[in-house]
Amino acid sequence: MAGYTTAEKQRGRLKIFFGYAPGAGKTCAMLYAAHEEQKEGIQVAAGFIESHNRADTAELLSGLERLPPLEISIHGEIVREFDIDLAIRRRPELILVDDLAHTNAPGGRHKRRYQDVEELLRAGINVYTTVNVEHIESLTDVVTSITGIPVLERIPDSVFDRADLVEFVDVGPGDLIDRLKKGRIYPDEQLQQKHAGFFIPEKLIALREIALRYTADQLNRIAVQLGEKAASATFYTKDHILVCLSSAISSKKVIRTAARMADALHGTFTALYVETSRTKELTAKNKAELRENLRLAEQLGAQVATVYGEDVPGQIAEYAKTSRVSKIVLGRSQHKTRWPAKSNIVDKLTASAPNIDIYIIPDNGPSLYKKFPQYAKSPLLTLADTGKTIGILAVCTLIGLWFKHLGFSEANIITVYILGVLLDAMVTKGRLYSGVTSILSVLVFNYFFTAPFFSLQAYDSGYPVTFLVMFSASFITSTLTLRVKEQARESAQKAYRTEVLLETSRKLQQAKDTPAIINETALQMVKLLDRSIIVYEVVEGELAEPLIFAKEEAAVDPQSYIFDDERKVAEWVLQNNKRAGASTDTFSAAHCLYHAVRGGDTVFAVAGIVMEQEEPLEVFEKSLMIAMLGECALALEKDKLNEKQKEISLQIQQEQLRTNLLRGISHDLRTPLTSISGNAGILIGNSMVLNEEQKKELYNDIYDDSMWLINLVENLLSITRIDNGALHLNFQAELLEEVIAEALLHVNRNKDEHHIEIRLEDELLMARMDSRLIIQVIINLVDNAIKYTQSGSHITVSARREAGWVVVEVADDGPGISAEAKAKVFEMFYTADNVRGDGRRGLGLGLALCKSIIHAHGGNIELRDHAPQGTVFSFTLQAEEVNVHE
Amino acid sequence: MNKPLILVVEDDKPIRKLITTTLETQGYKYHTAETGEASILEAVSSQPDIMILDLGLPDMDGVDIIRKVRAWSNIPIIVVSARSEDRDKIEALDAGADDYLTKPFSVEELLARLRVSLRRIRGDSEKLMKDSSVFTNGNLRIDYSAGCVWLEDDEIHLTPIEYKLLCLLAKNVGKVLTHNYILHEIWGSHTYDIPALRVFMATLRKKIESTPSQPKIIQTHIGVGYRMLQAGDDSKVI
Repeated sequence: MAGYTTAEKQRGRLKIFFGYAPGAGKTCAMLYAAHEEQKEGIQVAAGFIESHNRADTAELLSGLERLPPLEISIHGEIVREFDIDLAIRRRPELILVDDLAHTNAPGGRHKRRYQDVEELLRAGINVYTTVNVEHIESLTDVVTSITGIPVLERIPDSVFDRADLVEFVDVGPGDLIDRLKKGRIYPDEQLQQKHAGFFIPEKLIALREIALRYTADQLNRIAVQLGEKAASATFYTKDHILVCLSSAISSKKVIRTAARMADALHGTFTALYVETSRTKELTAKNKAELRENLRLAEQLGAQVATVYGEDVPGQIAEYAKTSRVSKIVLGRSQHKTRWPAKSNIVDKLTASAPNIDIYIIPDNGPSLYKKFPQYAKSPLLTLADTGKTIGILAVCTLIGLWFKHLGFSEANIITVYILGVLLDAMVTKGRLYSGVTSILSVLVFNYFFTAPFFSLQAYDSGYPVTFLVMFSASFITSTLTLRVKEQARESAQKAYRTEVLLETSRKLQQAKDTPAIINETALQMVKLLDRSIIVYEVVEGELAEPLIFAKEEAAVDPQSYIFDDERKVAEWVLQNNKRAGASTDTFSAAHCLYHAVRGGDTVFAVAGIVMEQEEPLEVFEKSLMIAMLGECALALEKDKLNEKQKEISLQIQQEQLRTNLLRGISHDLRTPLTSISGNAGILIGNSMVLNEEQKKELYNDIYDDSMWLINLVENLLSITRIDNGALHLNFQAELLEEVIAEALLHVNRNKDEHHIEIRLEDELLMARMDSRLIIQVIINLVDNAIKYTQSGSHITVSARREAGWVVVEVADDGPGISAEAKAKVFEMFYTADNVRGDGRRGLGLGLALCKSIIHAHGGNIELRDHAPQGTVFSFTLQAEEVNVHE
Repeated sequence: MNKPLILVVEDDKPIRKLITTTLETQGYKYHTAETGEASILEAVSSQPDIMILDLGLPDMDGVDIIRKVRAWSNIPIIVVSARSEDRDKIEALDAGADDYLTKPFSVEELLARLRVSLRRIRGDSEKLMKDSSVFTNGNLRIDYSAGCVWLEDDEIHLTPIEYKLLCLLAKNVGKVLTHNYILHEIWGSHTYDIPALRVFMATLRKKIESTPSQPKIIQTHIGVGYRMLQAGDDSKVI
């Protein structure tokens, strides 16, 4: 079976030494524990220890094996990092890796050290590590509010939760401050000064409390998980917490709050992102923020779901109802005036899903969609759109001047301008143009058509109202037009998504085997992403040779992305069943992004998306791609299962055949053997009383029976060869003339009593065959004709060519075969006049064997009546042409 | 050379008995050996005229025995074996065996093959005595020096390849030649086109056999090769 199951490997155990502040003694506690383990005979290696030049730490390190750090040069400065490859090669039973929250220098395999630790654990190595409370993702807000210092290095809660053991390293705040003053925490005077603000009793007490509570929670979670496992059979309802994501920076706080809530309630946790037409307008920075938020939600254990639609509350309510969400967590900004829709969300949600609790988290961060400059910049800069706007305004003005010349009223001219703004909204991109056009049209109108002409002043007191009405009318028109345009675009995108997925699944259903499935998926991905795709199929746990699917007009030949470093990333993906490569945290220096095509724990293939010099994937594209890969994995899994099923049913069939065969053989061997041994016994014991004639008869019987046995053995040998499959057959172009002549040499010795004739259309007629087996077929057919016809009958063996095939026929003029028997003659163990005993001879193997031999040759065998009487057996073989050059 | 001496190498007692009894009825002299080692010793010491060899011996593979014997002797070797796959036959023939009989075989057939081989030895010794520029086999006559072939008194027109084929078979009369051997001798080692060989053989046979569907001169061994029979031989293909 292909595939690689990561769960097969024994995962290493993780112990975290957890403290509430630097200097609590985590590293020392870890080293003490390591010394204890070493005394027990466990192989311990210190993978990476930050001594911070503390004397007691350095002292404790002695006596432990230390792995040399990896030295990376960054801008001429040497940075020391943990060497993951060395650690995995060295494979100690227990490894010490200090400071779990550390961020690795660029160029390493992973961006973060906790990912290194994850990999060690997956490799089956036990790990001791240390972490401070401030580095826990879900506690960041709380800790920052206490210390006032933002924390940059954070680890996902799931890493902490998966620890097999957490040891809380405690020290009283008073002792800690004492330690600081004695310089045991920061030997460097300057550092000590810098951190003095942190070591204030109130802060330390608060941090200690948080850390202790978090440790207790973790214990509680483990207990609950164990309980869940035990009671998995019993049904009980769980809370389902839904958090709604946006790209706002502040939404991180909302996510963390929701995660804590999910945690406290032991509920399932989903993060929902509603993609609207405005998503496209986001700036690159906001897009990155959105991705960041999605990743944070994932790290905090959320299932991320994306839905599409303009009506945000409607989509949320719909999703909440179908997924049985019990609590919804929303962020709420202070900019109420700007966000009348926000309160609508709550109202609408309450109306459409009254059973769901809604939690609103105050959210002070800036909103995303509030200022023009935050929109994507491209519409501002398009020359074409600017030109169009100016052109439209100019045309409007010309028409206006003409109207004025004709003496039309100003109302007509205003209408022309409003029409112009509408037109502009239709042909330009972005809201900015329609807004600017609205203002400009008012100004231009003012300039050309109100007294005093050609100035921006207006004498008539009624004009400001006219301007305001004109501006409002044009602005609303343009906004409506824009919205219609957006909706059209969005429904087109939705339709496209549905269509692509449908097309993929339809093509996958048609794909017959694994290569076809991979081929179809990759082509669909190239079409969707417009990037080249590289696929490594997984065969028996190893990556096969890569298949390349280049996009049209690829700037770089994707062939150049196939070298050892890239393959290593793909291998890592296979082993760890996680994505890696460009735009991820693992192997981010790679040129391609690698995703596993997996079903459960089994990886069927690794797909690489060439990312060189291009933007990371859009949320839309990515979710579509993952859906596609999922489809592909399902198809592959189905294919593998089918194959297995086929194999099994074939085995069962063969087993059955063998059993029947053995039963038939042991029965039919007895008859001739009894005759042979009996006749020989008579000859040995009673040769004196037998006359020559009688003796000769007995000799003949012995000879005939042994010949019959020989024929049986030949047939059995043929069966075993067919059994081994067509691969073992020796196909060659053979002359029919030779083969038929050879076969007739071996037929029954009673052949002299019949008239056997060979009729060949062409002496050089050739067919592709395994000669031995085809000879056996002809022997069986001719023997049958001899056996079942009266002596003196005519038997004709003929061969002719018929459109690429050679048809061989054995015809007789015997009594013929009844219609009922015709249906059965090719069945195994069928014999005509199915009376055993005296009816003798005939396992009923002959014709069944003929059929399987001919089928193995890709031909057909059939029988029909021979006019005026008798039977014709005919079979086909592929004709062969031979070019003869003298 | 009156009574030819035949060495029978066979480890199975009933089969050995069957062969030796058959030989006795025909008045041949024989020695027997049960193992590969004994067979080689016997072949060296008693200088038999013909060797009947079973391939499945307890101590040594029969094909190795053929190679060893061929290293110093040209005596006809008839292989008797239960291995019926074509490639086993080809391997033994290419190693230098003259003929191949698959078990179970009939006694008559064994005797027929023996006669073919004996005639070959005599033919060889006759050839040494008289000028070998003319080959005669029944009513077939080949004049090597003139490059002509006659059937009775009619000259037959052969293509160059047919002539080469006929000469090759004639020089090895009584011996089964494998497809590969023939291809190598006629076309050189580069082209291995067995179907073409079959076609040439069929056309050649049509020119020299009276009834090509029941060949008397050139015998086909399906899947293995061809052999020219000495006129009067009655050996069948098994």
